[in-house]
Amino acid sequence: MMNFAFRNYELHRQTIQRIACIMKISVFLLLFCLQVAARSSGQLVTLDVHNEKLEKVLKLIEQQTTYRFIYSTQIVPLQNGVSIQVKDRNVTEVLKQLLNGLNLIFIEKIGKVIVIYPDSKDPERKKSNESLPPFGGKVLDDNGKPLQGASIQVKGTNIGTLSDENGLFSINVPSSKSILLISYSGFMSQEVSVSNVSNLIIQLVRKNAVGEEVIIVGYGTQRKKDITGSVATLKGADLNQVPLTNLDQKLQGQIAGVQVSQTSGNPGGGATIRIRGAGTIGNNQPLFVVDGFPIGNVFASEVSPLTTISPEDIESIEVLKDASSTAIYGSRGANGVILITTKKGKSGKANVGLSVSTGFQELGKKIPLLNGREYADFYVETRNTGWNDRVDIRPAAQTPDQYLSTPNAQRGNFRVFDYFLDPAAIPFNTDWQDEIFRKAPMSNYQLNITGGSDKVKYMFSGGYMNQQGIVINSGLSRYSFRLNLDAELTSKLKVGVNLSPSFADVDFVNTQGHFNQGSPITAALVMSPSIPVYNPDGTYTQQLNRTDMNLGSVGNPVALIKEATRKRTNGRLLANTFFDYTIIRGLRFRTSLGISYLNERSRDFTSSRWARGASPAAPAAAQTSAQESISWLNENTLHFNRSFGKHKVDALVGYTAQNFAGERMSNGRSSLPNDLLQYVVGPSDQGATSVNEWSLISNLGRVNYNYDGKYLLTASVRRDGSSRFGANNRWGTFPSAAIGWVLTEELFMKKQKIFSQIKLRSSYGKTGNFEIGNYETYSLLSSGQYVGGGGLGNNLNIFTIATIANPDLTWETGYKWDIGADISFLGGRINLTADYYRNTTEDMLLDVEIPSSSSFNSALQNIGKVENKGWELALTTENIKGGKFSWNTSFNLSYNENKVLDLGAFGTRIFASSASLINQIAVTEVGRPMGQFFGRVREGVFMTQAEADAYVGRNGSKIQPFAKAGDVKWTDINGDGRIDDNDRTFIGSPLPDFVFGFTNNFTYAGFDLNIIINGTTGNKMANLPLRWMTNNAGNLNQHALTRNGWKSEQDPGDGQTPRAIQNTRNGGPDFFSSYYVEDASFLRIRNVSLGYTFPQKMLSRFKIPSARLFASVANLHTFTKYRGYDPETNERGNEAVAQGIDLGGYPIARTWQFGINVNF
Amino acid sequence: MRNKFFLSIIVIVFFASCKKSFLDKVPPSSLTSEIFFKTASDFNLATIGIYDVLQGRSYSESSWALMEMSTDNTYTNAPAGAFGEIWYQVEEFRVLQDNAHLNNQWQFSYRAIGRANTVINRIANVQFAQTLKDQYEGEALFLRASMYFNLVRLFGDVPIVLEEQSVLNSFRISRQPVADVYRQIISDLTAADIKLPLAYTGNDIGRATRGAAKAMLGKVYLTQKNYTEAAAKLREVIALGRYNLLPNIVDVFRASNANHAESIF
Repeated sequence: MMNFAFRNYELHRQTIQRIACIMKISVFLLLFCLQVAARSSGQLVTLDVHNEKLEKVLKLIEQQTTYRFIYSTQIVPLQNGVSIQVKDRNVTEVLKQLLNGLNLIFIEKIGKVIVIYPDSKDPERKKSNESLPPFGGKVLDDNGKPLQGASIQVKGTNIGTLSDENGLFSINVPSSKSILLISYSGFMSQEVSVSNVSNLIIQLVRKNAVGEEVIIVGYGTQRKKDITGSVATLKGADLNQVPLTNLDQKLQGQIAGVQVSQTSGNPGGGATIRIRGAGTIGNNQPLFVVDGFPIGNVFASEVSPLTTISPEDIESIEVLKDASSTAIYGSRGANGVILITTKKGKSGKANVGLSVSTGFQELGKKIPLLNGREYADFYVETRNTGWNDRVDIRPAAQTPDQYLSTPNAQRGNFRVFDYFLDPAAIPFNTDWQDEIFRKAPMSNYQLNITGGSDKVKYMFSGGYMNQQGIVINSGLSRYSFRLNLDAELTSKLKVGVNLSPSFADVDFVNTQGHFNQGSPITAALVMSPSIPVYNPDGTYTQQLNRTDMNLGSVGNPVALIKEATRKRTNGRLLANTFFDYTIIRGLRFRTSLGISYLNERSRDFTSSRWARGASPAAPAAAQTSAQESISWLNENTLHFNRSFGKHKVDALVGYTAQNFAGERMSNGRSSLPNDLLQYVVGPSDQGATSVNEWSLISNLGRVNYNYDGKYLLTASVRRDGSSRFGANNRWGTFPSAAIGWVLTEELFMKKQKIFSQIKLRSSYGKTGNFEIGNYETYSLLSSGQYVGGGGLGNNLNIFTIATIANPDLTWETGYKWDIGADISFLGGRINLTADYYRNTTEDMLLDVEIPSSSSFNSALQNIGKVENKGWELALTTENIKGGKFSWNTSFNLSYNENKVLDLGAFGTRIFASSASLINQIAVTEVGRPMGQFFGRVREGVFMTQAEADAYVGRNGSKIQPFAKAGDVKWTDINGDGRIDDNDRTFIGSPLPDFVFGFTNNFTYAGFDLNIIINGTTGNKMANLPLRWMTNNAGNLNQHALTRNGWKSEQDPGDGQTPRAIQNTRNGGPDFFSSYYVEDASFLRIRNVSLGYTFPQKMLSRFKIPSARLFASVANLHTFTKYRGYDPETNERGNEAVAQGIDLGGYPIARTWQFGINVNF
Repeated sequence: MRNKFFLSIIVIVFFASCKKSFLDKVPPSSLTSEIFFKTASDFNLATIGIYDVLQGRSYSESSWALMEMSTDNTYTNAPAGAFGEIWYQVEEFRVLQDNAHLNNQWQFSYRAIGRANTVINRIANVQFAQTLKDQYEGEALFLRASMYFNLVRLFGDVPIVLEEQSVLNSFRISRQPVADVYRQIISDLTAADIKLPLAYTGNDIGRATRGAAKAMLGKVYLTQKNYTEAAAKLREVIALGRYNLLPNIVDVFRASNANHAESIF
């Protein structure tokens, strides 16, 4: 007997017979489909035949209706003559009448197919079939697409099978009373009685519709409807249809309360992630946990630790926001937790998915600058105005006309290079932005194979991604592999292993900083456009520091990039194994051992042609460093899950231990003999080794109690012991509790039809932050050298105590309170989640000033308090569902207020460190949000001399004594009649009021369209390059804004841009002021991707189950008033007290991609 | 089944209760004060570390500014503006409280005092050659006294810190009367006088000697107008027979002529 094989129900009439012949199906059907209750179908038939062949009559019915018949020619007596006379009768009635006398019965299927087979009640046939033949069917998802790998099991037995790639299955059933259990992950299981089968096609219903969706939480999973904490999930289409190459970018704009800022666009660079605002002046990055392994919460602007994870491997991302969900991560949960779960294997035939995409990136926006001749004009003009203005140094007794006719050579420091004297003759117009930016190609290849038996499942993936950067010489290539294997050894013991080696190779270009410190972007913005890139002899041009000629020192931007090599390579191996043993029903023990191995190397080289401007070219220099680290983690958990009547208990206890050990070696030489070799050649003059270790031991426990689905209670606790903390405070306990009430489960709500779910929940708890150095509690010694002894002396070694011991040092503690509601309307088509929260962080780890009579200036202390409160809203709707066209929307909005409540005994203001930016532009002070911009208030320019003269203080003297018409006016904040550093005040906050995201998914026939919009409002940005680009002094190239500068009282320009003048005694306009603090609110079209899935009919010819073509563009356009490249950039990356600082950050590219996803 | 349940509980408890030392991580690539300060060599390196403050720019520059700029020995030609302002303030007798020289002098004097306290406090608890112990302790006492001597003359009442400080204790430090400060200086120098060697060789040349302690003590008495004690102590310096005036005053300041007969410390 042949196997049952309905290959295709949508058969053409012509092929029916042929298929019917080969099927020989009916033998087994006769026994199991006895009591078919053929349902009416609504299509009417009119027949008037007399002794016609059955075959012919069936054809007549097919002609009159859309029904098609399937039957075996071996069994069905097609040649038998039949007579029937009906008018406008239902098909089923007609068939009953027609087939009754022939001992035939029929069954109606989805797709208007009717199968005809002999009636097994026929006593003769029943006798001849003692053993039962296989039972077959087809499993579909709610969209009618076949489900591969669905499990079909005969209830109460070990008999089971899986559906194939077309959703078809065949199973041997022991008895006609057997019940089949059909299940598939993510769908509700369904039971089908084989004796009562009315439909061989089993359509499974997706779980999320009713909150059955399973959510990954810390150390376990929970049904969405049972969750009492604030947990958001990103999975499926939202993850996969967005072809972004970095994982953190995928989160952007997707989850309420989560702000992801891509602070630098360099390939592989990290994004800062803030969950419910910044809770500490220390590290605010959330904890990332990949398949249960915490890989840390480090932010790295050069190579993000997330770079090595291929986004294509990810099944879901869960964001844990409140105490109830994060307290189980104890001392690492304070900044929120992001759980990354990779794809698992699926039973069934191997499914090979291949995704190939290619595209290019480009600069989204150029900054308008003066061109070569305009700059030369401007340069000469500043000299003239300056000369005219400086009566104190210019020769006296000359008329204004004579001032301007003073020959260039006689103007002392107000000379200009003769080259610029005739701007019209300048042959060069170099666009330095074009020289350092480019259209950069990228390509991405990902292969993914899943499959397995019902006991062993595997997922293998391999990927290669190559992304060149839009800044020349920058780029990233990534190789990533993954093997996820799960095996059920016995019905009680499961084992699994995840292995993911990956490698990222980054060509880093540090674009940020001061233009004379080697930053190519700021150099490109201020470098004279009137000179070419190369001298005639092929060497780089340079703008040297010639103050006598009023020229600033600017390195050649092209040289700054091309003559420097900064390689960063990261190799990571994440390996995790687990054993899961069911001890008794409802009680399982799980133990896992994981290892994260990381090898980070860097190599820097600057050739002797790498010149920063002022200084003559230095010899070539090279530095290398290598850090190797191994972190292992062992987790042992006992899970208990039982129902007692209406009481359901899900409990967890566990013990975990983690250890990290890393060793870093660095080596360098600051003067290499030549440029030929890019490594440390010859004696090293900068070598060091540092070793770091930390360990963490934790006990954890959690109980979820659920009464009748109505009342939910969660309590969790984690006790952490960390090597990082002082002996007196080594252990910390982090408890949390949460309650939930599902109103819709109450009797009084059962009758209403509007709400499908209303859940109210609230949680409170304590979490920690352990992000400090590894040995901060110790009194550490530093080594140095002292020149001693007779004569000229010798270098003698010394050791001195560098830090004060603090055995009391302990965790930062976050107290989080959350109240929220999850509401679903109209059967889950509208879902609303709203939360209000208030989080306070106490005992912040702060390097506090201490009295210097202690011999030290500062010590790391647990001091200070910060509060974040706000609300967030997430709304997902299925606007149009079913049919050919569907439209889903998800929208999220969050509001956060940050406030510093305490900064230690002295409450001293904390200024962000200066480094390459001007001092003290961002300040953190009690009573205000963190990192407020601090500077002068600039009111505009004096439009007339009268206006400048009238600007006097209380005592009648001029506030700006040297001000002339066209000069900048600042506010005398403290009213002392002069302008100085005491007139600085708070001039804006880098923190947004609102963060929002808006995603739309459309499908029409085979097409899908995904549009993501995200943005922020209320945040300000310090546009530091604009200080140079509008300094109006002529020594640097200027922003096009300068074209609207003050020229004369008759032509005063825009009222904001001062006159062109060098060496003004009014003070340069570039003091950090409100003028440079710009509104950085933005709305960005983050992603638009359009896909087309080929119809099955077309693909079946090539034996390809599915194929999708797509085209996408990321960062299509950003609507913002911000005048710099990008409103998300931040020079300081993750530094909480210095946000929103633009100092030539790597701009985020607009990325066009085209690709195809194919499954084999 | 019940047994299995208990077994797994036991496994967890067993894991949880072992390995206390697992959490004790000492820094492998940097020294801590717990493992240092054990041998003569350790104390030698720590003692030279006190002198290091004197050689540092912040201390030496602020000493020059505060102790010489207001005299006629020296004057500044620093450019006007923020950079020169702190020098002109001293030169023109209008020092403001946020003058960086004041902060530097205070901070680095106490840094040297802290390093001296470390040597003095810890040396009693270790065993090595008594002569070296005496020398290191004597140097630390001498340097501590010289710091206080400058501090008391510059600031008047100052905190007397004689022990290594914890973070908490550092907030309890308060200023002490001038007389108490001098009492401490005299006590330190008197002790140093006994402990210090007469002279050094090789790389140790330039370290504090008995003569230096006596001379400093003499100067302290002189400052207190205790002329009898001053004369007695300074006579002891002469009696040592090691110091003489150079015939040519210019030779005193020649770099090539360091540690000459006129140089006591």
